[in-house]
Amino acid sequence: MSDKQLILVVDDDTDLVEMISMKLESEDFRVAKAYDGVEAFDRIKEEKPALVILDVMMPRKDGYALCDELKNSEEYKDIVVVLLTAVSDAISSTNYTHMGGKTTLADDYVPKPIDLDKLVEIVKDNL
Amino acid sequence: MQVAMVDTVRIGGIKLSGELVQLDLLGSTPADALLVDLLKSATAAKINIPHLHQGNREAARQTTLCFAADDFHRLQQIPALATVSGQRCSVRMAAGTLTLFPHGCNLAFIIRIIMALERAGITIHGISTSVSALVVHIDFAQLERSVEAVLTMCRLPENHTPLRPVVVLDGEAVETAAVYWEPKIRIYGMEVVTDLRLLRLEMPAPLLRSAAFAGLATLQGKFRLLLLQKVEQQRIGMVIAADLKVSEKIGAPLQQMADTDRQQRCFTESAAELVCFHGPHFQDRYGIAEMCYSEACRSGLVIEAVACTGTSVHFATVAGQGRRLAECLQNVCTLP
Repeated sequence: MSDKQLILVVDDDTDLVEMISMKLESEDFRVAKAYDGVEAFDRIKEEKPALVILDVMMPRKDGYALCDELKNSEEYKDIVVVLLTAVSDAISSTNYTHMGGKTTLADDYVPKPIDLDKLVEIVKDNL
Repeated sequence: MQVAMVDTVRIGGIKLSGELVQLDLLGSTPADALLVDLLKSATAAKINIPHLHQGNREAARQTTLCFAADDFHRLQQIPALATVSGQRCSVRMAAGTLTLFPHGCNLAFIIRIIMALERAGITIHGISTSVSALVVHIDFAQLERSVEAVLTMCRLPENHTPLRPVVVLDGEAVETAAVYWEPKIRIYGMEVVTDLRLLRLEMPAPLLRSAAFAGLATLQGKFRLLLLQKVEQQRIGMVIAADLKVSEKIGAPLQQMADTDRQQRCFTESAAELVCFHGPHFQDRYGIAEMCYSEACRSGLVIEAVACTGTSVHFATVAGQGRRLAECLQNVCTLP
């Protein structure tokens, strides 16, 4: 078993998942990937990651719902959750805002578009 | 009975598009202005272009564009479309895309996918890659069959994300796209990759079913960008950007295959650089392809290949021009 900490990256933007994964791997983390909230919960049960980077706008189960589920669970509440929040507070068409991200039980949040260096800093600070 | 064991590759997922219309344009440099006009008109009409890819073919450029079928009637009102239609342009109705992710930049994986589709009798009308996604352009009616074909060599995770977008959960709408407009495109950062080789290959389409092509699947190599286009009836072009080490490995077999068609010179290799970036909701937002492509054309720099696919934008240029192209593209982008 590797000593490297496992991070689960969850987003329906597959390119972003890949970019974050490459960045984290270059920082010596192990990475698992999922592309919506339902698939992510399966991966969490299987692999028990130390930290989950979680998008909010996703099909089937969104990031807010998954975050609540994890933080209200005895088994998974200690997994660190970093939310990737909506692209701009100025978007009138979405309910997923930066403010919404702050009101969840997540340990931290990062506004999109993310700065990958900043994201790595936040990951390290929270582990 | 002898049973052939086929190794399957675990992939992250598959996505199937809605019904699209595909335009293939072949034009020389003055045709760029027409293409830019068409893109600008589409943006003004708030028509999204989910896929645009372009490869150079001698002095001409071959451009593939896709639009949602629902937008096509509005697109037909655009005078610029009539103008480009007067050039060498083909319109393919009832088009669709099969997207597999992640491709891992693995050339062998893509060769095997092409072979699986060809074996199933599914005609490939184009391929482009993003950072993670392999996008295969096929007929809309063939999408379900294409999934069956690729699942002969791929396996999906259990409980994988649905193949088509899910928009309703327990009676409540689930948002997966933000519709918005910003005068500058927000991106996650811009990368300039230098010391690349651009390999261009043209060959008869039936060669995709040949043993020679299948042999390429044994090549171990990572690419940075891969495009496939129909350049003429029964003839396809392929563009691969890869680093020097990989291009040395794959260049000779590709050239050998291209040489099977001796009618014309059909393999070239040149030094290249790649500018790439992506940003949130690129797929859902109109205007991304137009802003990037127009700015790149305005720069006057050499554009060897373009791919706006998934949430990624890639421009290949000649060696020494990547940095300048990136600076020009930053006029329409905002970095975090």
